[in-house]
Amino acid sequence: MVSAHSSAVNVLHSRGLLVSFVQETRAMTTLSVCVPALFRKPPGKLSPGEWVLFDGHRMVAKDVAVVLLGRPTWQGKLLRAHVKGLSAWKLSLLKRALLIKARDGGLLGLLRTDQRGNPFVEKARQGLRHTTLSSLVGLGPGSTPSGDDFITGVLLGEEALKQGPAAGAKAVAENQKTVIPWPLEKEALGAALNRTNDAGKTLLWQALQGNFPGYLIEMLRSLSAAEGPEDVARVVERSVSCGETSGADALTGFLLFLQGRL
Amino acid sequence: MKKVLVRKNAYYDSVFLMLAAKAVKRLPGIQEAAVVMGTDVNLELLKGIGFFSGETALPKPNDLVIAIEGDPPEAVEEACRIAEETLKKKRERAGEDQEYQPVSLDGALKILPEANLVVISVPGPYAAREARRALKKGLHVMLFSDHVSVEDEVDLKERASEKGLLMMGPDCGTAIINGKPICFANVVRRGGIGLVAASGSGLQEVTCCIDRMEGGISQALGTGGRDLQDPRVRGRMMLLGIEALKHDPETRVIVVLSKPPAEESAAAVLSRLEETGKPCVVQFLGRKPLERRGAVWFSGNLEETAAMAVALSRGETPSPPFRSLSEEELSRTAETEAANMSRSQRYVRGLFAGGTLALETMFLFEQEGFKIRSNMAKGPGQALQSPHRSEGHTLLDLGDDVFTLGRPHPMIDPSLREERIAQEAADSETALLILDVVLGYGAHEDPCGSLAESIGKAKALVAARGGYLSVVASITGTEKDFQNRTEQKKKLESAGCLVMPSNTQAALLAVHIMKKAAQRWM
Amino acid sequence: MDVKKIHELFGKELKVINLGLASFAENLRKEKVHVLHMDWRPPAGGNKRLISLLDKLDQR
Repeated sequence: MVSAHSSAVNVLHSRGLLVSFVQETRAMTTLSVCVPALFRKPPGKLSPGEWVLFDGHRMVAKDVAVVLLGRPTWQGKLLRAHVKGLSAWKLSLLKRALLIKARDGGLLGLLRTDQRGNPFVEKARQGLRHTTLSSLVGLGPGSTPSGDDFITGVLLGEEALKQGPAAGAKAVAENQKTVIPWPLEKEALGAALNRTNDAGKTLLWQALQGNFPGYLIEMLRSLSAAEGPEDVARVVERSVSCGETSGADALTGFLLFLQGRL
Repeated sequence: MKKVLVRKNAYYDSVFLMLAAKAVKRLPGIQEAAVVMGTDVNLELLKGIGFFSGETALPKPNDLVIAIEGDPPEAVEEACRIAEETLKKKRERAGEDQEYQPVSLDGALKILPEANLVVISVPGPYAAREARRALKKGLHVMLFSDHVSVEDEVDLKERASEKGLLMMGPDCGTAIINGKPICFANVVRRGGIGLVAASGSGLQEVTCCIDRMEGGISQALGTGGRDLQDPRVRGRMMLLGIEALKHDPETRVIVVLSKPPAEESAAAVLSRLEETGKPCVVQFLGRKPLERRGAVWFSGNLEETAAMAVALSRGETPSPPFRSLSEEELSRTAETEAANMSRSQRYVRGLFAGGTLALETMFLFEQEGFKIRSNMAKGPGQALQSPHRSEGHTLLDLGDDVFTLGRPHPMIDPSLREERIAQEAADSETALLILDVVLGYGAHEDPCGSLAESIGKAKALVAARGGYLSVVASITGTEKDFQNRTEQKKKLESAGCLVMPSNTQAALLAVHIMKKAAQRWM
Repeated sequence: MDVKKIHELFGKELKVINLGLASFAENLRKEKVHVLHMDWRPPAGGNKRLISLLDKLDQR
């Protein structure tokens, strides 16, 4: 077992992927299970470094046994309904709100052309300039490195386009100069997975399959439904409250990918 | 100066990491601090700005890296120290928002690292496992649980012997360590007599008798019922206990107590006792006492064991057994008791909560020529068709599984015995009831309260039929036990019960009464 | 047979961890013995196969 927090317990599966046991469905990522009972009055204490066994429908540690059967898990597939209301205008509102509300520290600087001095942002810029998205794998601070969140946002953007009403947008995009290279070299990304830690690996691997964390799907859904700048601002607030910079990094990737494509 | 800290396989949430980085950056003299995972690209970057120069062992993606740059070097060292502290505290506090209740031995040891004894009374299937873990941690074990396999018992005692740890049990209900009663035990005077016993109620009885005779106990160790009886266990704990008492300066006399032992185990114990160089008293229940061997004395009953031990602890030679009633008084009492019995009343019925006490009574009766049936019986002629129906002379161990399945042990809850008392009173062939009452920790807070009532009712029932029910009891306990022995005795006596100071004497009186009863109708 | 550890116990104050019946812990407290009572539960929810697997992991 990797870590125990007040509302999430992360366990490293023997396949190298991180499974999260969370308290609320809101906090779910791909490869997570919602088990509120684990957090109510824990029957035992889970200590980082402890071994945990998965037995069919049960997770078992020294002091704790949790029944997983029937507990909600998260797929995280993007549906047409989630992206119905997306438009270029909403994306510009999103960018504005993000620059105002997000904390600095991750790769948000990529959205600011005037930012200098952040080595991670510089490195990321280099990577994008030379059209290698995979060079961002494992880059930056955070228990899930910023680069991984960023790439997840990019992949989310691609998925949104696929589902989006503007089927013609893809054709348009191919003729425009975009920030994010096209195609996305998914193979190279897959090969780069070992260059980051388990949390990042899990996130990226799932994103490559088209499975996204709960908060990102929720972000798109509410962005679609948003009617004006206030609504969009609220969407951003909720998203950037995830992790320290995860939300902001993912949104940065999302925006940069769609810039010029929508 | 640049310095790097690496925490292997560390996973902290990002918010905490950010706060940690900010906190370190704010420290005096620190120019830059980065808290990142050791991914390839992060390491590249760090190397690019001068960290990890010349390092051959680089961190892995799942390692946490704290890179600090500052001046002077002392400031950087201090910042590193603070960073380590912060991470350590966060790790320890993980999940501490709820009240911490240890559910495992490891958890308990974090709270009480100086623990030296583990008392285990969890269900049998899990008990051996817990005991094993306790031994692994170097702790002494008192294993109250039963239904532990012999294989597990042997394994546990082997491990314990190797490590020189106490492994009292399984099925060990009594011990007194450093004067403290553990599980079912009495508060007794401290002194120079050390005991190792494979019998719980036997140990309770002997220690209480020693206390009554003004002697004192240094240590009383339990071994569990099978230690000497089962040849596979080979008396391992008994031997270890004897060795410990041999070297214990407080112990001047060693007492060994066991139900009928297996041959080789008995032999090993006796030779070990001879080597101690201290006077010893041995009682193998059910065996006729052997001749004294050097400083090793053999006793025929529990009271005698106590009396011998007390005498030896005073440097005296054991003399004839202690009796509170002379032969004459015994005879007279027996006469009186038998006088009003009706012709049909021919049998003794013993209802015991203590297994060893029942056993002692059975052997004493058998030595006097009585044929006893019992649920403890080994021979075919002695078994009962049903333990729930007495036949002829019957002595029962009510603590046996057949009675306690789904019910609390009779030492804890008197109702089982009281039901049986009523049943025996309704039987016109019952002449005499023998009862044992055990006080001390673990026992009922007022065993004689409701017992006295049941006895009164039973006697009245028989009297109404024109007969007389004799009731003899003993109370295992001391004045220091919380139930108040004097009060308990009074309660029984006011119900017409004859209370003897020991189980042995109760059995002897009972024998006298039964003989008198038989004589009346000859 | 090395009885050093047993003698250490004889010479020291008892510090007990109690697993199982709470009354045993209560009684020890009445005698002023320092005892920590554990809220013991069957490990792995009582599943024997899992328990043996956990044991094997323990030995790593």
